[in-house]
Amino acid sequence: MSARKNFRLLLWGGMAIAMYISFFPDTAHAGYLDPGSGSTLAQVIIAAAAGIRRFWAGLLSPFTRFFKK
Amino acid sequence: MLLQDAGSFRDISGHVFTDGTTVLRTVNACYQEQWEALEASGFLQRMEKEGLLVRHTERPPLPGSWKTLEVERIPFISYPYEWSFSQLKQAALLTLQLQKRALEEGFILKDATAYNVQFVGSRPVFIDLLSFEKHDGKSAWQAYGQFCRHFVAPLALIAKTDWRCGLLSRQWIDGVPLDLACRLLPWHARLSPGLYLHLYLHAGMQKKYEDGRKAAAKVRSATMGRRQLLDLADSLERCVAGLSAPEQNTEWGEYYTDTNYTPAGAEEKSRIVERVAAEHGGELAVDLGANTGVFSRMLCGHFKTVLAPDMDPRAVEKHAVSLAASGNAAILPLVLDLSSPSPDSGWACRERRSFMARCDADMVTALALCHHLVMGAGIPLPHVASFMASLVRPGGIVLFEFVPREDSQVQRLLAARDDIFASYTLERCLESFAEAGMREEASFSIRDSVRTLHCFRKESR
Repeated sequence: MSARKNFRLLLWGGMAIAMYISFFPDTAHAGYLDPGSGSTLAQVIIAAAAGIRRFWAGLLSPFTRFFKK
Repeated sequence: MLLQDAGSFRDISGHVFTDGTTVLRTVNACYQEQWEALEASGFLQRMEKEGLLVRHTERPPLPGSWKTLEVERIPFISYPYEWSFSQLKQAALLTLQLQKRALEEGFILKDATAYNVQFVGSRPVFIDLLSFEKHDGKSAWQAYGQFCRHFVAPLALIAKTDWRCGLLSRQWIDGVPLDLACRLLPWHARLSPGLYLHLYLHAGMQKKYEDGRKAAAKVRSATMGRRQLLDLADSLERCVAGLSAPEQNTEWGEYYTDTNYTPAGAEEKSRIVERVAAEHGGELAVDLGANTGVFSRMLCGHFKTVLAPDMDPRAVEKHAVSLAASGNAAILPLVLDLSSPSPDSGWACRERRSFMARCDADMVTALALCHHLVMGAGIPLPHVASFMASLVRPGGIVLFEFVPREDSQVQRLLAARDDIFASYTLERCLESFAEAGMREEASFSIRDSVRTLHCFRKESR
């Protein structure tokens, strides 16, 4: 009886560990993470946003200058 | 004897060598093409003339190098985690200014570490001559992530979270991780467009594309022309310039409104400090616990460089702002907790040197400090004395103010704690300095005060 209980405990324990591993990413590969790729792609978006801002600022500058006078 | 700087090993373009007085920078063959392009453009000379870049002259090449340069010696090498908010902000703006100027002339900064900037008094100067390379007209800025980690993240954390967040750079010497910065910032920080883009979006993209294999194709197809890079630098500049030091009060921010000197006593103490400084002038003085620098200013007429460390970031900020406004080129305020000064750190604990290893002063002043170290931080007098001795060169001077137990400020410190400081006496203090190899040369009493000033000289080896 106690052997069967232990077997069941092992089975459930094993399943719980397997589920944990499949649901949560393995952190052992953290040394291969590359923050540089994200930085490169982020700057493309940010530079585009800054370019749009510059375009509008240039377009509106005669008006803003006029109202500042 | 010339030795390679222990912090100069990452960049294969060249290395720094020093014998303590001369600083040489080697240029390796792999950087020859870049250096020749920089020389031909006259970019470095222009930046040097404008005071943005450290000055250099050519020397006969050291063995193994393609070229060797002698560069202007910085009086004291300080680190970003020792700077106040405005000093870090000045360093960030200088880096961006150089990036923009480089882009206009077809170059780009290949790295953007805060350690590339040093301070000569209140003036920031860029020290890495080999940080520039030709821009191919399409590559993204490889140093963008580094700039955000070294400058944007700590500045935002100090401005929006707490003054003390500047010390995070001491743990992460290649900059505060952006995901950590985002977690520590208050929710409203993301309402600032600059912080949202350069920290939150940036950290999100880093997370999304953390597997380099998945992002490789996108990264290779990402192009950034000169105009886009200038837009990016403008955006960073607006973000950094828009950050301001917090209003949050600190323990020592208003120190000079809370002393127990009478006007006559304060005047006499100033006179003594000025006289001792005049008698022992030299290259480097350190005013420990300088607060907003009242006594540092008295020293600066007699020493080429005066370090003004204090543990309170707000007091250091006040000091740095006032010096920048006056253009003072001699005093360097630093954030430094004497009970835990900057340690050796980085690779093999040799990349960044401890405060003590960098300090070889002609004179150290420790005014109204000993009771805080002994009773506030729990440092016994013999330890205090040997620490002071470690900061001065042989033959150098320590001007030490002893604040006895009867002093009202000491009584304040002891009011709510057990007095376990039986050995806190003037006799034990003098013995401690003698044991540390410091000979007492003079002592002075201060009018209307129980405090005394003692001038110790470190025995020559």
